[in-house]
Amino acid sequence: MAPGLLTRRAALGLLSCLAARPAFASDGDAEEPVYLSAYRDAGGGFGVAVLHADGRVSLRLPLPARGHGAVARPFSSQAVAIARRPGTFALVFDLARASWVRMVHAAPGRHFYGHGAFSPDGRLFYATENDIDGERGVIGLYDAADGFRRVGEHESYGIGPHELILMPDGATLAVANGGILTHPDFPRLKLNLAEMRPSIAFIDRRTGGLIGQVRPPEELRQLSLRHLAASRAGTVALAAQWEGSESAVPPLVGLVDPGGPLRLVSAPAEVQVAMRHYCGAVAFTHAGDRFAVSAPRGDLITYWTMEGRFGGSERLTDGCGLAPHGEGTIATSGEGVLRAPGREPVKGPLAWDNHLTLAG
Amino acid sequence: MTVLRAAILAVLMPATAWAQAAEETMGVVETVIEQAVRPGFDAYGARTAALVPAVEALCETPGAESLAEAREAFSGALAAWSAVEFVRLGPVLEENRLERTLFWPDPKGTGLKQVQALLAEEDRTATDAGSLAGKSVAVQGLGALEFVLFGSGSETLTTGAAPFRCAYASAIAQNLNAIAADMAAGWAAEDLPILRPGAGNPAYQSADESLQDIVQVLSTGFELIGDHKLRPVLGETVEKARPRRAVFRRSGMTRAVLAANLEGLKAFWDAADFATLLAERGVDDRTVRSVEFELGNAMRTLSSDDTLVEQAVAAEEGWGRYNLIAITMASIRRSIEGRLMAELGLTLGFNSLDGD
Repeated sequence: MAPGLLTRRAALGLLSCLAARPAFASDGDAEEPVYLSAYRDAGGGFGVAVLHADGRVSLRLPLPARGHGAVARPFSSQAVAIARRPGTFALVFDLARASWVRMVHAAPGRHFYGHGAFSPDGRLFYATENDIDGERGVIGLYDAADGFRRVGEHESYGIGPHELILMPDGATLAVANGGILTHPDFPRLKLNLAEMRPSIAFIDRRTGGLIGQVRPPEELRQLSLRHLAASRAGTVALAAQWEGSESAVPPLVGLVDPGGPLRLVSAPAEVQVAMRHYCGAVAFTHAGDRFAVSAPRGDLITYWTMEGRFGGSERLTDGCGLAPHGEGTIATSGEGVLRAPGREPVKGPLAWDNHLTLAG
Repeated sequence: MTVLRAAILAVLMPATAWAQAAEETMGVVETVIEQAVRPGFDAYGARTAALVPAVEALCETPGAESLAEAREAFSGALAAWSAVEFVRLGPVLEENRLERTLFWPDPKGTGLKQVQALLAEEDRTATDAGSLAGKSVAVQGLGALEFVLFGSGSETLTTGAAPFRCAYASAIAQNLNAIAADMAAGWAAEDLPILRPGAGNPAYQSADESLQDIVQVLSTGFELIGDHKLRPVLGETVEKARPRRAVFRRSGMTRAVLAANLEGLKAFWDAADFATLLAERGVDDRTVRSVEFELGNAMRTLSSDDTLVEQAVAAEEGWGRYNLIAITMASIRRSIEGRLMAELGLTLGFNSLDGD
């Protein structure tokens, strides 16, 4: 083996070790995972926080407006907090230095949807964006090594792209195109409910080419697919929001294996009704043997097997944020509760926003 | 401290009092549906029913007089629609009825392009209400009919030189009437989900959730006027005004639409009679009074001048007047979302907002 390669591998291994045990966690257990979440404080101010499974908050940084998703940059102590749609800022911050790094602004004619992902080496940052005049979804490409300069964009192959993840193959992006057209001049209006075409698109992160795309069946075309997560084996689980008839009880959870069809699954009727047509987030366990889906309007966290069978639910008022923790998943709520498996729930003064992300 | 007092009351309430509170809450919901929503949609149904023969008469006897009558029938239907436009609930959201009736906002002018293309091609399938209903939502509603009756080329309707254009108008009128009838029938149903909250109901599981949507209708209604109809027209300054963005400008109905929106919201608000519900709970009604004061001001400001909106906003004085209305709408919305909801004991989860 060439010494250069060995060195590089060793370096990568060392760096990934560092990423898993960042310096900022050193005041606690070195093995303890660290999470990111946007929040609203008691005074109505918004920010992004670094939090721990015991409820401790080790860093708070203010944001100019409400944040949404946050994502840690691999091989780095940086992370990005993205504005809630139709926001136009993304804050790059440094967890180890506990400081802002820079504010990234959306390109003219674009706004963020609230989610993004990094390339495996942490060099490129991908963000879901609205091409406002073009009425189409795009993925903005940013060079993290060059001040997060916008270096290009891919198509998202749909309208209203929301959550974007990197698949475990390191080469494919999976994007949930919610299908709902919005315009920043009318921020809360949905402009195309009659003509929604939601999808999950699998995209070559290098070329931007479409690898595959799945859609709900015609009778469920008003099922907005918005959030997704991938297991280590590459199975995608998704969480949806229903925009159709209020008396319908459609499925809100789905699974897609690489190259396979979309399989929509339902809980038993009483739970399905209690989920209130609205799921907020989805996360796999570390082992990738189960996943959780939050239903914040129904105050429920639901659990599912890899076959798509309902595996129970727990009540968590306004519960939404989900991330892997130990052998299970950890959840946060808009009432400031953080609940880790095997621990008493902890309630703090910050209202946790929709998403919780494992940072290392 | 009224909210605190309501909260203390809630904690101290025994089970029978809870049941009574739910009954009072549902009383408000039922009254709003019975006294504002159902009559409003019935009136819109009646106006679209009158629109159908008026357009048919134009096609049979083209002329300036029959065109004027068809246009007047259109304006009547549009005003009746505007009085209920903000009620975006239940039967209105089934089968794309809202979008089919009103394809708006349309920031790129997609609807206009589709209507113009359809007129140029003389697409025969657009002259039958049944097949028109299956076409794009942009070519079958009030916006499409406005262009056909008032837009460029509409003068041909007086000469009989435009049989296709008139047949298309007739199909739109019939389509609007069919949708209006479906909405009115939907609202007439006794088993409306909003009137039957409970465990098996996916849309409403408690009386408070039904009331929450009633309050949300009001809040969204004021937002529609201020943020969605006026703000894009006003821009930041009079120099940046965009008069061509005024809704239903071609028919000269912009101000009438805004007036009907406000009157409809006032009827809805009056039917809710929040002051009585708050009094039953020992909560002061000052938020209610302040909303009513501001709403009255906005209605007076709007009726104080009858210049066309697109002309008014191009001058300092008129711009200022409409800007004041937009500011008032935002203020009312803040009162409703920031105070009234809390006073009524309603909370909207931080993570339950739409579409995140």
